[in-house]
Amino acid sequence: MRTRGEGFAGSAVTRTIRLYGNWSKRNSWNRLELFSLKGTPKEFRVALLKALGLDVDEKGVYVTKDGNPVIDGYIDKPVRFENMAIFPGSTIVLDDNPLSIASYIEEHGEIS
Amino acid sequence: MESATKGAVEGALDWSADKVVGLVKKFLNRELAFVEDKKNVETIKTQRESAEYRLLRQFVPKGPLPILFQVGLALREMERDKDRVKELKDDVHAKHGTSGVHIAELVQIGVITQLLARLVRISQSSSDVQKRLTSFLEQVDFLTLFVRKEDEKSIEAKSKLVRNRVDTNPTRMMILFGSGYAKNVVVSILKKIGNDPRNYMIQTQDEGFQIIGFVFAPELRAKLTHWSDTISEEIERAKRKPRDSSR
Repeated sequence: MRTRGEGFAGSAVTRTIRLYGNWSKRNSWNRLELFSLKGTPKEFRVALLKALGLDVDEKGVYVTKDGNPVIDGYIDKPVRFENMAIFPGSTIVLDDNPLSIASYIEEHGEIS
Repeated sequence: MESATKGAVEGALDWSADKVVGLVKKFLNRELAFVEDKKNVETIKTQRESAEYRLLRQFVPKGPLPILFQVGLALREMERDKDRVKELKDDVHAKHGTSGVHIAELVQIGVITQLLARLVRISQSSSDVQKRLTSFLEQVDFLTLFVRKEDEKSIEAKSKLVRNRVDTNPTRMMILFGSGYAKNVVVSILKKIGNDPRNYMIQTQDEGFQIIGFVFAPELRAKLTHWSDTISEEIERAKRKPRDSSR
C-alpha cells in the first residue's frame, strides 16, 4: 500500500543541510545529510517508522518499538511522534531538542 | 487548475513508498538522519563551532559539563523565544537538576567565561585552570543565587542567606544574578548586605537589563584582587591538607 500526501504538495521539499566537524569514525559530519520531517504528512512518518522497525502508539503521540514507548535516554522522556529525530548507526531515536542533540553529538564524538 | 493538479501529483509522489525506501536506504548507509526541525541541530552546531565554546571546552572533562556549556550558549542564542527557552530549561532540569540549570544559565549570562578568562591569566597550567573551574562548577548551587522579582518581599531573608553562605562556604564568596525587574531586587539585597557592620566586600557588574553581584567575606577584602581568587585559595588549601596530615 502506497502512502499518499495529498494536500502537502507545497511542503513536499526535502530539506537537507550539510554538517561539518567530527560525527563518528564511520560517519562524519561532512557526509551526513539531515532530512527535516517538519510538514511531512502523518502517513509518511508512520511509513518511515515502520520501515525502520518502529511505530507510533494508538493515540499518535509517542514513538514505539515492540509496542513500548521509545525513551530518549538523554532527557529520560518518551519520544514524541511530532518531534522525533532518528540517527543512523543503531537507529537511535531521540526527542528533537537541543539538549538531546548536544548530548548525542558529544557522546558520538568520543568514538573518534 | 492544470497547474494545481500537476503540483498535487508531484507532491503525492514525493511522499510515496518509493520515497521512503530511498530515504531508508540512505539512512542505513549512514548518509542521512531524520530530524523534526533542523534549527536545533543548527543551534548546537553553531555553539560548538563558536570561539567561546572552544575556549570553555578545553578546561572541562568529558561528561555533562561540555553539554551544559553548549546548552548555555544555545539559551543565549534563543533567549527571545521564551517558549523554547522554557522547554530547554525544563529538559535540563529533568536530566541534570537545579545545578545543571544554574551552570547553563551562568554560561548564558557569560559568568563562566569571565571566570575562565581570569583563571587562565592567574593559573600556572591548563590542568590548574581545569581544577579551579571544576571546583567552581561543583559548588554552583552554593555560589550562585538567581534572584526573582518575588524575592522583593524577602530582602532581609535573602541578604541573611547570602551572608550565611559567604560565612560558611569554603570559597567565602557568592554570586547574585538578576535580570529585568529582579535587577532592582539584587541591588536591594546587596545594599542590605553592604549595611552589615562586618563590611562584606561587594562588586557589581551592571549590564543594563541584568546585574551580577559578587559578595566576599570581610576577611578577604585586603588580599582579594579578583573574585575568582577565592577559588584558587580553596584549591591551595585542599592541596596542603593531605600533606599536613601525613606529617
